[in-house]
Amino acid sequence: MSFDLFPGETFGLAGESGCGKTTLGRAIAHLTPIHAGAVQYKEANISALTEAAFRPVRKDIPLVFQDPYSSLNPRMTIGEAILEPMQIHRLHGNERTRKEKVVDLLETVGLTAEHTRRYPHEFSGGQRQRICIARALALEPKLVICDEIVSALDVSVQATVLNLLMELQEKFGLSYLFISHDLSVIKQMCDRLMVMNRGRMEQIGYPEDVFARPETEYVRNLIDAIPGK
Amino acid sequence: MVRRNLPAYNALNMDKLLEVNNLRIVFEGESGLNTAVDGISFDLSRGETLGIVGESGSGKSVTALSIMRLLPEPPARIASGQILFHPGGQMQNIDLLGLEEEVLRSYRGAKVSMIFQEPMTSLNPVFRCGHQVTEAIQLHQKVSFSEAKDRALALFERVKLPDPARIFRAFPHQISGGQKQRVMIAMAISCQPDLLIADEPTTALDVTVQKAILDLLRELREEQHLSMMFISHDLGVIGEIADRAIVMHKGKIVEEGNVKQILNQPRHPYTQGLVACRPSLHRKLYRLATVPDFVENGRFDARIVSTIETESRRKTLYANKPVLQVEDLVVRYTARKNWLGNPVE
Repeated sequence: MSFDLFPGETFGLAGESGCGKTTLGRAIAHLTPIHAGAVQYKEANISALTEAAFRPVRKDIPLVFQDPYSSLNPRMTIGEAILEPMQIHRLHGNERTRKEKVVDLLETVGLTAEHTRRYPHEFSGGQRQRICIARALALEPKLVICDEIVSALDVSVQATVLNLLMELQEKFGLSYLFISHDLSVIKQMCDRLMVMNRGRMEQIGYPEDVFARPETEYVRNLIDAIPGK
Repeated sequence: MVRRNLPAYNALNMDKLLEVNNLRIVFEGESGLNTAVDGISFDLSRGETLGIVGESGSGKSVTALSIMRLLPEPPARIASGQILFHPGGQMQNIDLLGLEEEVLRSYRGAKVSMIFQEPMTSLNPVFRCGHQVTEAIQLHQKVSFSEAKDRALALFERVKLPDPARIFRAFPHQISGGQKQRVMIAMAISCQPDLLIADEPTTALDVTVQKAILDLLRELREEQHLSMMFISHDLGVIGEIADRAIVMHKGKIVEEGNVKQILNQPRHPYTQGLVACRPSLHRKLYRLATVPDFVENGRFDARIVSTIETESRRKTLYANKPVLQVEDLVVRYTARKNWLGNPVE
């Protein structure tokens, strides 16, 4: 498995459950040990680093998960949840400037300063996903790994979260590794996409090429199965 | 897509199977009354597939559960309304809301059955799949176990489960999600119901599996003259299977009509938003439409990213050095390890 990801690019990873797309994302973020090969970040091999040496890299490559319900600590207020990663990585000078940054981030993702004192259960799924995005942005990342980020959301909420991701990319020049089983979402979001099956790459290319000229039986079936084409 | 144009069928279509009149369901909570379904009325003809579309909290599942009389009461309470079931022929109409629990049991599963989104949680994990289907058959029909088993195996064959005998002996965790949903469908059609209520039956499944399940439901519908109520948040799926659809929003029906018309010319602003906010395979927008764009402003930003813009974006993107390079990456999981912790091949 080999591919490159460019600054400001959205790279889509598509495939069915069990195809290895989540594992690939986790392997890049150093959350799963790798067996062979390498991951180069800014031309340095990061896959061989120890956990401690990887820490400064981790802040550049945060993950946002599918389930906004289980990825926020229910006993932490939203303000604390967004503050925590900045404290761990000692970002933005002192505590006061960090707190200002929290308010900033909430506003960036369409929430307000009043939300800092509330707990996760007081928010809807879409709002929680915005909070998770704000938490990832707190690290001033270069590359965000979005693992099925809108799959648990209603279609109308899905659209607002996808719009937010596009805006943030424009604003901060972020790259996304966008993992999704939904090909129509991938088509809208991604500059290039890779279809995976059983841990292997089936096809990689520009979305319009993959859709117009599927190279394997598997990719063709996957495209044919999209409901309401 | 299969279309039913048989004249005999059209005559049957005039015949109502289910009628819901002014149904209002409230939930009594600590914070007072919560109206989940707010005075809705609709009907379903024999042989018809009715789609119910809506987002979470719109009341679509509550409506379905009330038809099965599966709502927990309390906290739920049916504040008003009627659910009339027409068994057909000379038989009297039944108001499902007035039935005793004992009578209900003979109707639930036998006349109306239901499949759910989560096949993992709808099957009992401690019983073999075969046992669960024969149990359903023997509950409603006086047959011996061996006959029930034969029927279950025939049903497994019919829902296209590979190796029915193996699945019969398998526990739910030993088969895939799609196979579990097929077992659920086998169970649901085991007593030849008149109405099948499918509540998001394909939402938890992969798209290719989803397509196979939709194909199966379509086939069964033809074969068994089944009427269906198909609930989904996904307009694309509804468009694949339903003849007619109702759109629910905050407990009310905001639009009702032919599926094609709802998908192509939605009238209500909410439906327009719901249709427009789905990413399309045919165009890439600067910004996806949202429901508030339609409900509050009545218009949205429909600018399409042109090929020239895509080209120039690519030129700048790929002129840079890559930020991340993945080279011949291999990740392996070892299922089994020996005493020394070395993988067993």
